[in-house]
Amino acid sequence: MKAAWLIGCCLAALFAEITAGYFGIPVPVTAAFFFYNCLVFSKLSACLPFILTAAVYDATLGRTIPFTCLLLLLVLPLAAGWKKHGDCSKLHAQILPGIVFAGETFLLRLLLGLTSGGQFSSDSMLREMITLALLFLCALAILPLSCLILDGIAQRLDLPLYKNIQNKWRNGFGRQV
Amino acid sequence: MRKPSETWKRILILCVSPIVIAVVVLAMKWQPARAAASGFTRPMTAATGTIDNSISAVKETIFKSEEEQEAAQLKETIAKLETRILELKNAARENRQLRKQLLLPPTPGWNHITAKVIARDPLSWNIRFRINRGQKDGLSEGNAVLHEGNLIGRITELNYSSAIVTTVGSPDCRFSIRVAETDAVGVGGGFKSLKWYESPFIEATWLPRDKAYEYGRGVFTSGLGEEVPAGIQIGTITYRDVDRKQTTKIVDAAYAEILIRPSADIQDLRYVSVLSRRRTRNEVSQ
Repeated sequence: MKAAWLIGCCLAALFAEITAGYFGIPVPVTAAFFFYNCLVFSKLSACLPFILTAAVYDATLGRTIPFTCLLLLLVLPLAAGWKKHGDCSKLHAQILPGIVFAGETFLLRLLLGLTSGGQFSSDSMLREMITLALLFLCALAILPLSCLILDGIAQRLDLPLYKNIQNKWRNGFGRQV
Repeated sequence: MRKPSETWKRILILCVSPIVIAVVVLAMKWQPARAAASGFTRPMTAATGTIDNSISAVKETIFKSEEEQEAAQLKETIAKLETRILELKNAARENRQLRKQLLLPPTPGWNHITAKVIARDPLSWNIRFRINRGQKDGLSEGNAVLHEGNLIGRITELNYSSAIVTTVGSPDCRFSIRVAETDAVGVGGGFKSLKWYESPFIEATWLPRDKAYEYGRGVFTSGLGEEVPAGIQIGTITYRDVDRKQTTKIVDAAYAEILIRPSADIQDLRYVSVLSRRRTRNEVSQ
């Protein structure tokens, strides 16, 4: 069931990202789903299918720099940190990793754009600014939204829930709640 | 002492990490892996196309009057173009006859293939995109890609049923250019601007230094090379140094470099045309 869930998440993320990208909306769904699955399952089991998905997505778009793969690597420490120190039980608290996630996405894009010169330029400055702002806002919104939607589906499938994961983890290892 | 489960975990991480790195490197560098990835996502890109068509259909229903106006304008344009085609057909016939008289070999023809943009990266919107035509449609690497008669890029990656188009805004896209009224020929390519916020330009280099390259003059493809025909509009010359109103930079007192503003609008693309060279019988048999 866990494998089917991970494959389903990867395919859904891939489809969502391709469709949104076609209309010019940069939504880092793969990275957000990866964050969720890193916390619910282990980082190790989520890593391979999601890195593969990110590589497929980058290759489909003909990217020469694996932006999505790099983003996943940045999400890894965020997921580990949030599992240890964060609070997964309250939805509004997910805004905090959302901000960090959006910041990471924004900075990575900015860094790659600045270092690759022509890659960043566009017919109008306005379009790039809108894309960057949109990327930040989408990344900010997609993380809590992913947690909410995936938890909703996982509940119906009797899978471990994101909101309960810290209780299980902390109680299971005898640490304070 | 370390727990056995922890040791296994470490071994697993050590085994998985090279696999992950290999997957990423293969997807970025190895052409068959990229082709397999694009083949895998083909149903998804096709579904995206269907979504786009449905949105267009809804728009058509809502803004019907605008569509009717546009249709009337298009009919007028078609009528004008039909007349122009007749003129060109006559010119081509005349050309064939003259070449025959002069014992010259026949000129290669060009196939005009319409392609749909199926995937586009929002983060490098003006740099590259994927189209739904590939090897099976007769495309080959280096073919010119046009939008409304202007050069927008070349095919840089080819799969069986799709291809990646790198636009003229990218430094990876190179082509031969000719400056109107001077007949100066050079090599053009996307300008790797040091200022990330600048618009994409095309930099033409290896141009004769003794010619005058005036602001606003048209730049076309030269037809040198086998994959891009001559006479396709690329853009117009723009200032290199706006303050000094300079268009030219002389490099090592040997050749000139100019900047070209592309005429094509790369922002809003749904359909593009690919010019593929018609192969002669000998080439096909080879």
